[in-house]
Amino acid sequence: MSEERSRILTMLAEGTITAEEAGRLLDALESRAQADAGGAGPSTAETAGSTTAAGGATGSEPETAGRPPKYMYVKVVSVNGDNVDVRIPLNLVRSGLKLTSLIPPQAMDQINQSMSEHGMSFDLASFKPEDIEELIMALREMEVNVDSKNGDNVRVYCA
Amino acid sequence: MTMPPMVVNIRVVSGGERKVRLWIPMFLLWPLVLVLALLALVFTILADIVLLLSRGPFHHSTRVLLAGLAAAAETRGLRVSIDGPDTIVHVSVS
Repeated sequence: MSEERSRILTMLAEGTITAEEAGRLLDALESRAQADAGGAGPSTAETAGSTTAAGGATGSEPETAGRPPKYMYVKVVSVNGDNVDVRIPLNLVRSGLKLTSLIPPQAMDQINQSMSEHGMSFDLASFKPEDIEELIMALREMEVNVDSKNGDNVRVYCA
Repeated sequence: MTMPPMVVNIRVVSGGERKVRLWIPMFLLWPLVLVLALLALVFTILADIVLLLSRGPFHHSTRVLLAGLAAAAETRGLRVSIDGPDTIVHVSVS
């Protein structure tokens, strides 16, 4: 029995979650396992109350190694039953990033200043089209997996 | 080149009753959007020329219009599903 399944059943036995909520979590676990088995998602590390960002394509299949990801997936499975599933085409992200070249210089300076104040020293004006492709290829190896103590799960990945 | 979205499906269910179900045939709207975009393009090109000649601060309205249309065309494949205890919202662009 996997660790996540065991944790869910323990929470059910302790009365932390209801049977319906446990069922939803187990279904989400199964669908995630099927996605991992069939897709090119990287390996993940999950601990209660922790956030992980996995690097390295240890789980990717050879035929998808050179292919850029097509979609970004955001999946939220909540114990309260609020489940969110969003799929965003990465071509839309490309188009949005290309729009940054149309931002007026005065606004660009303010944006860069605000970003650096929040810890992101990043010059949007120097963003080139080849940088966008490199960023999107790197996103293929990114996965964010959050398991909270109350059983909520958030997963963000590109495939 | 990506095909622009052909159909938008919107479904909203609240309290167990279906509130909204929309099926929007974008393939019928795109020709109208194209005509309006061509008209707008004429104005934006003229505006850009005038602003460029008068050394205006921003003369990229044509590029903005074209980039906006390109971004709209790239929404194909967007899918949003929100399943709550009482409310279900599904939006898909295909």
